[in-house]
Amino acid sequence: MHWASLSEEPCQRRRSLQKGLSLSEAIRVESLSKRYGKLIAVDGISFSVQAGEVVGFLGPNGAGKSTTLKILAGLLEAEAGRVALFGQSVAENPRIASAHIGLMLENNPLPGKLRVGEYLRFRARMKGVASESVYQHVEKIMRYCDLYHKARHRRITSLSKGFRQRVGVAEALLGSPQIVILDEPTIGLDPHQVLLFRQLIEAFRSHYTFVISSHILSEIEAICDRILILHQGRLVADGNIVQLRREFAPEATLVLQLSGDARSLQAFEQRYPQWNYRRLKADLLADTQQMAIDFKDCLEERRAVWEAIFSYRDWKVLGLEEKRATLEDIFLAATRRHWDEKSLKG
Amino acid sequence: MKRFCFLCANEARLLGYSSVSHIGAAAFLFAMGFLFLFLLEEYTRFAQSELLAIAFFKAFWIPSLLIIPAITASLFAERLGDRSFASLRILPIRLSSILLGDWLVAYAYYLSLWAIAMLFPWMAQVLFPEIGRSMPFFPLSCALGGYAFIALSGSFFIAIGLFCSSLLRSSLVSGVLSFAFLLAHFLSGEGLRQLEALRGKSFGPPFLSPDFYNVFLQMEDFCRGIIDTRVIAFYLAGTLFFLFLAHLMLDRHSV
Repeated sequence: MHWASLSEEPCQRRRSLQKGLSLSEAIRVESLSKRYGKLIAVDGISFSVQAGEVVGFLGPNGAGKSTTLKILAGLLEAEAGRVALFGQSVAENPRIASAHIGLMLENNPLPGKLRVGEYLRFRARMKGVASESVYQHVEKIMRYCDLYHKARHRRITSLSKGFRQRVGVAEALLGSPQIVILDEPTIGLDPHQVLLFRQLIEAFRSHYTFVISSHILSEIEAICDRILILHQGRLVADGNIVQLRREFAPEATLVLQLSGDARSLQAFEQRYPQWNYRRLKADLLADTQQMAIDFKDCLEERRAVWEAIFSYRDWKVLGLEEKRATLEDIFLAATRRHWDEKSLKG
Repeated sequence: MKRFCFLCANEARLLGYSSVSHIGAAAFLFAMGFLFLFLLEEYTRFAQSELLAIAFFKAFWIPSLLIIPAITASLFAERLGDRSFASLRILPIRLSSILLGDWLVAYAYYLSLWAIAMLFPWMAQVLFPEIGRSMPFFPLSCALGGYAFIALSGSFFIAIGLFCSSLLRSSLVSGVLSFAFLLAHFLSGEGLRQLEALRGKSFGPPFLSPDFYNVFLQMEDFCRGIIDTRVIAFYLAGTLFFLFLAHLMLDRHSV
């Protein structure tokens, strides 16, 4: 991939556009609501996204992710609430959404008959790229997305899923928008293509504000600076992975492979009763034991656990592995908590 | 306006890539050529009461039934089917501009096909000059009148086709639907006449007169230079009406 040649143009444009606007806050959403008939798709959510952040939108099907993203992009009207981009209200000035946002829709619908180059040139012209620089601009974007050599003359219908996704991302980047919204960009991609996609986002990280919606939790965890979890139209979690762990899954586990008898383990448990212990398995012939210690996932606790383990003389540590809550655990905990709260109210 | 021009250029490109529109165009030109040769042969054999040009134009409904669905069916239905229409909706351009752009492109394509079909009489005159000397072949006034009616009615037919295309996600079914709509329109004048005959009395107001709806009489009038402004108003209003309906239907399809 040709990341090294990344142009300075988006940054320059952003700087010039941001004059007089809020420099740090790219998106502000306040009490946003949207219904489809009786179904509440988005239920009074509020959040903000700083310029340059990569924000992940998570949620089960029907959580309101796509609806929220479409409202942000000015494609749907909200029933209540306010969306502002760089301090300007989208409702009062609908044109700012198309000026600031590059969007890749879910399933990335593309006209199969067109060739990649002509499709991107058409989109660039429609997005207001000056006629004399369209070819240059599109060529540059195609190079960034590794389309120039491999796919520019090919019809979209003949492209693999991975290349189609790249065309979608390239299209979102046309016109140098400041905010890029990608709705389910890694759906249907094989692991190799997912890795390439991740590299693509990494390369553009400092140039754009990204809002990425996905079902693939590991992708969001790997790419995003901040994660928003939606459930049944409500925002149930907002923060970076450390903050979310602290809120929804504050326990960490240390799995120890030890050489020592059962009595020494029991003595350790009695000396440090503040932690939870689980005996996993014992190999009596080899005189080894496996034990899990659950503790609160914070720096002080971790330091205390490690000190206790290595200062204890009655065993020999053969191996250890620390397990922390994954985004999947956090996601399940956050949605379950919201479900429980709703059940209690109901 | 600049964006609208880019959009039209893209729609024209897409139409150019559509195999169905090419097959439809080939079928249209073949049908028109065959029809013209058939009429020419008939007119050289026997004396006829009406001009060859009028007879040629009056048969316009047969190729129109082929070409209108072929041009219009894929315009929206195919893109609604593969969801690529949604990618158009996210562009900074109004839905009405997208609709108008598609209508303009399809209309220009339809008129250009008719312009090619109008070359057949000219080619016959060049190839067989002796025929042109013996009878009035294709008078310019008649050709202009006929083409004007083709242009007027064409705008209405294309709007019907676009409406049918905006209803469904299958281009085949929308093509069949627009064929049915057009056939109903072509037969409505004759159908009303039959109903009136069965009823034994006229329907009353002049705008319900079967002759008013008879496209063949309308075409004949235009070829003879008789311009009825009510007909012009009918087709223009019909065009706007079906474009409005198509707009409503497309607006219902969420992004």
